[in-house]
Amino acid sequence: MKHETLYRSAHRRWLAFGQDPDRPEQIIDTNQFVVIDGEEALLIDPGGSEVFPAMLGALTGRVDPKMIRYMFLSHQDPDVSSSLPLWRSIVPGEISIFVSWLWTGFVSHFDPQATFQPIPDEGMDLRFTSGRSLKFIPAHYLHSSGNFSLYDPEAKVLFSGDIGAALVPESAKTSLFVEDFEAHLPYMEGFHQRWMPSEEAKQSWVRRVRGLEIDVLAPQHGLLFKGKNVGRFLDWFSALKIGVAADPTPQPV
Amino acid sequence: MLTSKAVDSKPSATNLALLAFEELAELQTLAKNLSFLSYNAGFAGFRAGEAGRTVSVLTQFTRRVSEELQQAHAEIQNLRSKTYRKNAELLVLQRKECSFCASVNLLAKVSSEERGEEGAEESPYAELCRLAIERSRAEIESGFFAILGFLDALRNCSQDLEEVLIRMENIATRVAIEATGIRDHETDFVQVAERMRSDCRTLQNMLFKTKRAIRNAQKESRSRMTG
Repeated sequence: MKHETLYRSAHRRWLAFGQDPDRPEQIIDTNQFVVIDGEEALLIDPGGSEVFPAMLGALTGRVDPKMIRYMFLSHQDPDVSSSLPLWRSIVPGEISIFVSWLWTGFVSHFDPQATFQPIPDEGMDLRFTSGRSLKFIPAHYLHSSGNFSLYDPEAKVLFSGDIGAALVPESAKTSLFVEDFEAHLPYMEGFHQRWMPSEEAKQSWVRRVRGLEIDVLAPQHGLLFKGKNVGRFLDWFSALKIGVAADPTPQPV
Repeated sequence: MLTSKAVDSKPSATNLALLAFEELAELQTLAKNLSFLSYNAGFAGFRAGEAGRTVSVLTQFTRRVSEELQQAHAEIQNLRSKTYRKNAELLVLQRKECSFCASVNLLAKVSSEERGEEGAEESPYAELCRLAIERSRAEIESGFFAILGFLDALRNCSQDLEEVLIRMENIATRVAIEATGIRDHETDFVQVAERMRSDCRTLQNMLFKTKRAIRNAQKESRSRMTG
């Protein structure tokens, strides 16, 4: 599994993991992220149970298991969180699991013993023991009806969940980052048009995010955007017609 | 290479336990057949008048046997349902165990590749996964014990049914004896006796297969636990 350090300071690190070469072909590729703040670590969308062994391998030597104290699930999908009971079985202490209040009862189907920190619709801060914090930014209907992005004002990294996601062929995975924005567009277009249903929600999220300083925009699938490609992505997404990839009234067969 | 115990045991003990319950799946049908038969025998006894009086009394015993079969069916269904549920819980636990085994193996491979075979430093996650495997296996063993308990209860039900079978056979024999003394209605009573004997053979066959399936499942469960 590839990994990259997105940000590093004396007390904060952002690590990205993805493009597992041993992933079974039928399983959608996912990016996993870890934020380390002092002696505490946050797992962001830790992935499905199939990714779990590869993630442990990737974390070895980089993240001490005793540091893992928090988990954030951007939404309820199995590729985001079906590994939850496996993580809870190996992490030595308690984990605070942040997820939209809408999904706590649903995600519990993966792990009935887990206790959740429900995120209200308007979002909230995740405060580390150090007092430093990250922000959960509402991204409802993009694509899930209870959905959040996560922003780090210090690192200027925005984890965007499925926003910015792309289905990238193996041949185009030469880096974890988008290198040729125009060439990347075909891999994103269908995904956003089909999975994102609400124009109003999209514009609201774009408005909110444009007010943030972002060096890296990190989606859960595909490649990450950095530098000028962040603004390019926001412009493209704002203009994209969404909720149109499938005929809502198909003819009966 | 660490392998899951669950994957090693084929056919799985839990599947054999479920098969044992399936052998008695037709018990309710048999109980219903017997109930209809008792009514028909009652009508035949009534038509035979005084000569059919003993048969009429015997039909009451037949109805009681049918009720006992219905009760046994309900009890077995309850045990069957518990066994299916426990089996599903075991499947989830076995899935977890497999994931942890895969993790330990992958971590060992990463350690040896990255640091060389000599003095390879083990990932701290490997030890945590092994502890998780131990916990999963303890839960799996406990699940197997529960299933063994359900199998014991099924065996007790089967033994009770063997006593019911003996009574059914006695009733069928008595009806057949009565038939020889009732010339005008002999055919009716002979048919009742034959159908009862046929039901007895069906039940006997079911019980034989159930006992064999229980033995197989218990043997497999025990070897799975000690393996």
